[in-house]
Amino acid sequence: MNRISNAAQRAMQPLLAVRGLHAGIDGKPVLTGVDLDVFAGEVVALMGPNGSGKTTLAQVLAGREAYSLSAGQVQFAGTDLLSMSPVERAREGLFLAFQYPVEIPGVPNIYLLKAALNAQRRHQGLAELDAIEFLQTIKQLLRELGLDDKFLQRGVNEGFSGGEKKRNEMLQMALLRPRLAILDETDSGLDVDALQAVADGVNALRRPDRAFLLITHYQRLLEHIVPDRVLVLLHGRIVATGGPDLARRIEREGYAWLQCATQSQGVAP
Amino acid sequence: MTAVQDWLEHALTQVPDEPQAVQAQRRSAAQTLRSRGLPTRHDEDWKYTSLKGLDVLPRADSVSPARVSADDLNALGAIDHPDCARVVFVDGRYAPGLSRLHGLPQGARLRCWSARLTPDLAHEVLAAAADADAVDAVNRLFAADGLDLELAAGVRIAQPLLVVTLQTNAGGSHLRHRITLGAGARIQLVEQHLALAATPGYVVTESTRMDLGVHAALHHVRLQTEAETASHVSQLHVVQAERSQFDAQLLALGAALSRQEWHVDQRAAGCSAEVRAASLLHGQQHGDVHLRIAHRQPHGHSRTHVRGVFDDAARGVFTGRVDVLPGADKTDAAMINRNVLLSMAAEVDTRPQLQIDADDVQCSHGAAVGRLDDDALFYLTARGIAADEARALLLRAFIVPALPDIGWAPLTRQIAALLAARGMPTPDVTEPR
Repeated sequence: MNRISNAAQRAMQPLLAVRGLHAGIDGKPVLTGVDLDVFAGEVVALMGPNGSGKTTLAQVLAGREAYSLSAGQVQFAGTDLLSMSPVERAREGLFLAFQYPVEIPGVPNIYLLKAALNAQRRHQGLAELDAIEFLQTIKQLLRELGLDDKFLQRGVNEGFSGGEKKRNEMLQMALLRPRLAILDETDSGLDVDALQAVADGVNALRRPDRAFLLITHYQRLLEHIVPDRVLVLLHGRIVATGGPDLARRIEREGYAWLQCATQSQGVAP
Repeated sequence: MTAVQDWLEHALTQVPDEPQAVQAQRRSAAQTLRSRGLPTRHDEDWKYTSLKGLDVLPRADSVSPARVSADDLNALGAIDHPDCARVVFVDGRYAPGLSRLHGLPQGARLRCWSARLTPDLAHEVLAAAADADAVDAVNRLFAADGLDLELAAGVRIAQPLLVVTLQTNAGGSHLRHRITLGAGARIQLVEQHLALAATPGYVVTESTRMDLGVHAALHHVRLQTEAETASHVSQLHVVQAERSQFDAQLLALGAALSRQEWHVDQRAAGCSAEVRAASLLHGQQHGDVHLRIAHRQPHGHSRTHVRGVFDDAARGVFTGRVDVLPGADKTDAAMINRNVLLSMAAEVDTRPQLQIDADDVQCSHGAAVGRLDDDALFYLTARGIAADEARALLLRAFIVPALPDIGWAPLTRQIAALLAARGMPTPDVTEPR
């Protein structure tokens, strides 16, 4: 699907362009030459077995300093992403939905939400929202995501269930309206309702000027959010690119058949 | 002759013409100090805190106090409220012009003793207790004033009693307080320690004896905001009668060297004690929190919650000892000390200790020393919140559970202002109606 529009997009500059990215942690290499493009308007699924480097890629793109980068470039909307701090990346419209959202007792969720939104608005030269405008905005989003108002006064993710944490990530994403949202296994550990809520959240935000990078183990999420392209990360590099059929084949056959594929790009499903 | 003795002999030659009864106590204190000397690092209780700095400082009344007006006090942020009685001490002397003793109910007797004006009372207050140490002797030697508060049975004071201690010069403040609560009496005390800006090095010793009657309740809050040149040692001894409640809270921000001691003696059944302390230190500051709780009878209860944040080369010390003595069955005691170190040069020594010699008790103790949570920091910055703000948010969230809180808005505001001045503003989370 969308082959023609993809072709048209390829002629454009990608929103995110990763070239030859090598990264590791504690002296251990994890990413061994990642090349990938994400174009505005696209939903790209990134699949791969445990330990293939999916979360490392997400964290490196968001600016986590614990990882060391040894080679490669990343352009985000035409600027050098790797020279930006995590704060700048966020304010420029890169959003990471964490695989394990952090519990921060004592920092009220409403404060995080409001501070994050207003920091972004200041960065964009917009006026900050006052308390009433902010509350109207956030309560509308809470309703859409099926979250209770009491979420606002609780500590960030404090005592939230797994599903609540993931919904809270979706709430932040919906509030911040990023240009690129990276969802790191947002589907893991969710029941059917929560999965649907996450999918609805993403689908509602799909727009020609916004892109999603969905990191997932499973085909299940991709039944609710149909990706434009599917990439497979293995041993720290992209080894296959395809359409939704690629995800289905992985669901049926696993990753073993890809272990043999030595070329880094273009394996047909 | 050691430096301490040198200092002591010098101080003793300056003993002012005090009444005989007072001089007798001074001599007895000097005798104690001569024979014991100030504690050193060889004393287990002083292993991590040195009092060397105390040696060279002049005694309180060798320097004349500055004139201080009520406006000066306000400008320094001294806590005040028109509904509350407030006692102010300047350079270790009662300052009647700045104090307000009205508004106390029948059965409440609030007075200040004075070495010169009330020698008999002074003799009583300056007497040594059986458990007194050399630091107490320093206090007995120099204390010239203090608070003597007595509440008759059943007397309850609705508004907190405010005690402000201000230092204006390089001398010292040595105050000695006595607080006695009759059966069922209740009071909240908020004590604040302040200094004029740029006050050079000075010494504060404070000794407070509290006696809680049956079912009495005392909440004691201390805001230790001394100048960062100060040495501040405060000892608070509490004796609890049956079902009495003692609640102590500390926020320690100031002083080059500070030590807060609580000695809680639960002599009867069903007593409750809660101690909360928060220290936020930086630079070369050294802050010692020292606590002893003795549960002697059944159904005792204690909670200790001490937290510290140490930046630069600051050093924190925590010693918490809970003794559950024979016969104190069904004691319920919990003690936790948590610390965050913000720099490689900061240091904490923590000693939570529990000694149980009774049956069927529920006791726990623990300590933790760590850094700010990197995952939480990254999470906040990945949402576009500036790194400095994220750090301040996390520090504030860490310290809040150990902050003083007696449900009194002026104190809450005061603490919020103190934290804001330390780069930790209160997040605005109010929802408009």
